[in-house]
Amino acid sequence: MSTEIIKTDQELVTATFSDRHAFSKIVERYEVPIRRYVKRLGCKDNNDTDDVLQEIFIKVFVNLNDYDPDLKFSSWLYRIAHNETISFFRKKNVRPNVLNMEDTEEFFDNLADDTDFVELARKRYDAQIIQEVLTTLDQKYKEVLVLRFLEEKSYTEISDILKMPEGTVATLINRGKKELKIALEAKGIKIYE
Amino acid sequence: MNSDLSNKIIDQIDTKQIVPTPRWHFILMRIFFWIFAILSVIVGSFAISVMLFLFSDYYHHGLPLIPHDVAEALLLIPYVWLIIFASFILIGRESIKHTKKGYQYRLYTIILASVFLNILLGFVLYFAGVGKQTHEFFNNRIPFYNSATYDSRDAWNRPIIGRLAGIIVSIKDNNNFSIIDFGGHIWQVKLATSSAGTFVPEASSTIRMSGLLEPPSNLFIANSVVEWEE
Repeated sequence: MSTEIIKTDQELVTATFSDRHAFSKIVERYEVPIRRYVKRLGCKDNNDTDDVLQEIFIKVFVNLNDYDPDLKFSSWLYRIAHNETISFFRKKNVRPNVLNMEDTEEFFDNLADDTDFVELARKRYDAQIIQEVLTTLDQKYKEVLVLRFLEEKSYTEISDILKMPEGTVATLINRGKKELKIALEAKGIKIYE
Repeated sequence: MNSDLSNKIIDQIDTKQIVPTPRWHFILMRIFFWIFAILSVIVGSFAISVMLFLFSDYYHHGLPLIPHDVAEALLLIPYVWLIIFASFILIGRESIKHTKKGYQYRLYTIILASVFLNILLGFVLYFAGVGKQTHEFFNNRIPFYNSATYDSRDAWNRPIIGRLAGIIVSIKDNNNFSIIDFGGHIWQVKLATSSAGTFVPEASSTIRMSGLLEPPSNLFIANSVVEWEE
């Protein structure tokens, strides 16, 4: 039975400098969460997602020397993933799609834990309506809400990923939730108990 | 066993011979942004020191605290230096944002800190005489700077509102002489009866006068004459 020692991200980064094949371990470790994140940002086409993923990991490899060990490696990787995905949308001149249907429940479950969106989480409103509502949300709110309530990142991590002060992250999350409430209520969905 | 994606990526790295960008490149980038941030503070402080000089110089030369009219009040605003100051505050803000931890600070925190630092250093430079030197340097070397700023010489070069200054070029008698103003125009000066005997003209001395322009001639009736102090 082989006993492979699990290396930390930092160890894998260091190992990559002497053997670039060590980078495949980083790719394997983060392929699933980053693919999910790219999709959650609105990249729905599988081929597009594959292209974006390749771009992300190549960029990570090229910029490995820029990685600051004070930062969580995952935050740094998510930052690159975010920037590459947004620049992909810009290049293609497309408006990002909203969350997947399967993400919607998870999104509102996490939101309910955090706020008074309890009623909404319990009633499991029509996912189609919720999708419509999320479409209307400003991209800047969607980005923080996805990171907070789907990726379940802390405020510090979101601050490092989006390169903005933690205070701004908190403000955007609060405003995003308010916008979401207003939009849902406009659709006749009451969110309070 | 490696995943499809990791295989593809390693293949791409091998085929295209992709290598990580060297560390010095990123260090250089960070140094570059810090230099820009420091430069923005220095330039901003110079702008503050010149603005302080322009205001102090204006009142130092006996000009009234309240401008003569709205037009003069607008002329007194040092647009050039305000624009330079504001631009470099923004350049500084952008540079700080691109430093390692710069994004963690809120916009207003960076701007307030920059403004505070600029004002502080601006006062230091002003008291060291840098504001005056910078203004004079720009006045002598930069085309259009003179017309874009309004200093005490400009304020005393407005005979139409009763202010005139310049160098005495010829003397007829103690009450009649001529001067060349800061714009290069020659003016005949006659001391008003009220001020006769209070001033003795000296060739090549620089003076400033309050009085009245006698249109359409280039005669200026001076009610008061004071030596110009640099």
